[in-house]
Amino acid sequence: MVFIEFEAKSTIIHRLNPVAKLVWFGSIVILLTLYLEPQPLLIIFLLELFVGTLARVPWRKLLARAWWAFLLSVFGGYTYSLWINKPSQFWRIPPELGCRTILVLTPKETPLIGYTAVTVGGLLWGTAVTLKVFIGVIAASILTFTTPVSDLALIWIKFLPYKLSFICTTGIRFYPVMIEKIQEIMAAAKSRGWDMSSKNPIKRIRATFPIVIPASREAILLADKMALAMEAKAFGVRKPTVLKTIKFTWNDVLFIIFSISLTTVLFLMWWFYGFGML
Amino acid sequence: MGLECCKVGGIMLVVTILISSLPASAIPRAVKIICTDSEGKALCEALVLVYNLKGELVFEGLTRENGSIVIKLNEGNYTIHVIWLNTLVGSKDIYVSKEPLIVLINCSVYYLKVIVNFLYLIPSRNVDIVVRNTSSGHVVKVVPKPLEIPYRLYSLSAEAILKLPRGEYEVVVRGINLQTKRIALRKSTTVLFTQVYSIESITIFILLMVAVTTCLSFIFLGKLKIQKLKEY
Repeated sequence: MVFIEFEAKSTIIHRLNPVAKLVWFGSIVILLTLYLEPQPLLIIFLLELFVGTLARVPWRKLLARAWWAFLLSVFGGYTYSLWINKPSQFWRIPPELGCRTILVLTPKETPLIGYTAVTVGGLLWGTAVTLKVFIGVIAASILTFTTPVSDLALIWIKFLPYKLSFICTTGIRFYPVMIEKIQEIMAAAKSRGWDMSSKNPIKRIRATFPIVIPASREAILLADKMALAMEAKAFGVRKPTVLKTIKFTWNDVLFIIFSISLTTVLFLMWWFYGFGML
Repeated sequence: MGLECCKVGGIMLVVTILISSLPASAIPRAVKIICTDSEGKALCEALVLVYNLKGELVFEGLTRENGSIVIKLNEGNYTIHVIWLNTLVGSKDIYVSKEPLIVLINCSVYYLKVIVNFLYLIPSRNVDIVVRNTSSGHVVKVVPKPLEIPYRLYSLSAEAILKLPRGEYEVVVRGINLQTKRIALRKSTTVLFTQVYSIESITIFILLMVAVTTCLSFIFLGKLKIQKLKEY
C-alpha cells in the first residue's frame, strides 16, 4: 500500500541507491518481528523520524492519508492487550509487574471472553504493537516517497522473471492512479446527491454500487490501454533492455553499513540482554 | 468400680502436685527470633547461636525464609548471636520468662549492588564477581556469570545484589579484563564498574561505534554532495 507517492527532491535520502534504501527497510522489518516491548521500538521510531526528516517527508500529508491505519493500530493493539494478563505471557518482565492490574474489565468466569483487565504488561504490549504499525507505515512511506517504482523494479528484475516483475511494478505504479480515479468518481457521485451515511449495513453496501461499477470500468479501461501500449512495444517477445544500472556511491555504502550495524547491535542486545522481550 | 475411680483420681492428683511443684525454669518456653537486615527485610539462612549465662552453647540453627526461627528455652538469661557469612552481624541479651517471647534482631547486613556496564552504557553480562574481605583476606562471595539484567523501563544494566556484613571489601570483576574496587560497607551501597568488558559488550560497543560513525559520515558526505550540486 502506498500512502505517499514518490516526489523528486534533492535530499540525501532521495539520492541514495534503491538497494541501500531496501536494506534499511529490510532491517526495520527484521527488527519489528523481534520486539514485543516498546523500549527498542522507541529507538527505531526516533531513528526513522530522523531519516524521514532528512528525506523531507510531508508528515501532514502522511498523517492525513494514514490516520486510519494509526487509529486502527491503537484501537486493535490496546484492545488485544486486555488479554495480556497471565504470568506465562511474560518472559523478561517480572510476572508480578506484568500482571499488575490497573483495572479489571471482566471477571474470570465471563463466558467467551474470559478474564480481561488493563495490566502493566498489557499496556506495554499494546504500546509495542501500536508502535510497530506506526514504524511499519512510516518506513514504507519513506521508501515509496524517496524511491521511484522504476528504481525498485530495477532490483526485483534481477531476481524475478521479467513478466512477474512487470506485474508487481504495474500493481504498485497504478495503485495511486486508481485511488485518484475512485476519489474523482466519489466526488462526481456526491455532486449528484450520492450519500453513504446510512447506518444500515445492507443500505451501505448498496450505496457502494455507484462507485464500484464505474471504478471497475475505469480499471478495465486502464488495463486495456496498458495492454495495447505493451503490445505496441512488443512486450514478451524478448527480455526487455534495462535502461538504468544500479551504481553504488560512498554514501550508499555508508548507509548500508549504518543500517546493518545498527540492526546487528539491536539484535545482539535482544539476544544477550533480552532487550525488547516481554 | 468405686475403688478404681479412687485410684485414677489419686494418680491424677499426684501428677498435678508433681507438675505444680516443678520449678518454672524447667518448663521450656517458645522464643521466636526474627532476624532482619539493615533494610528490615528477612535475613534467611543466618546462623543463630544461643548461649546461656555460663557461656555454653544451648542452641544452634538457621533462620527460615521469613528470617525467623522458633526455639524452646528454659526461663533465664541468654545471649543470642547472629552469624552471616562467618561474621557476627547481630547479638542480643534476652531474659526468658513465663510469657512467650519474640526477639527482633536487626543485623548489620547491608546490600551491595554491583553494576557492570561497559562505559556506563553497555551491560557486561558474562563476568565473574569475587568479593574478598580485606581484613580477613577470605573470599566472602562469588557471583558466577551470567549476571542478571533486571527489567526497567529506562535503563539496561548487568547487576548483582549481594547481602554482606558491615566491613571492608575488595570487589573484583573479571570479564575479558579485570577491574577491582575497594569499599567500606557501612550502609547499602552501589558500585559501578565501567571498564570491564565481555565478548558481547565489546562486540556491541564496536558495532555501535561503527553505526554512529557511518551515520555521521553519511550525513556529512551527503550534505556536502548536495551543496556541491547546488553550487554547480
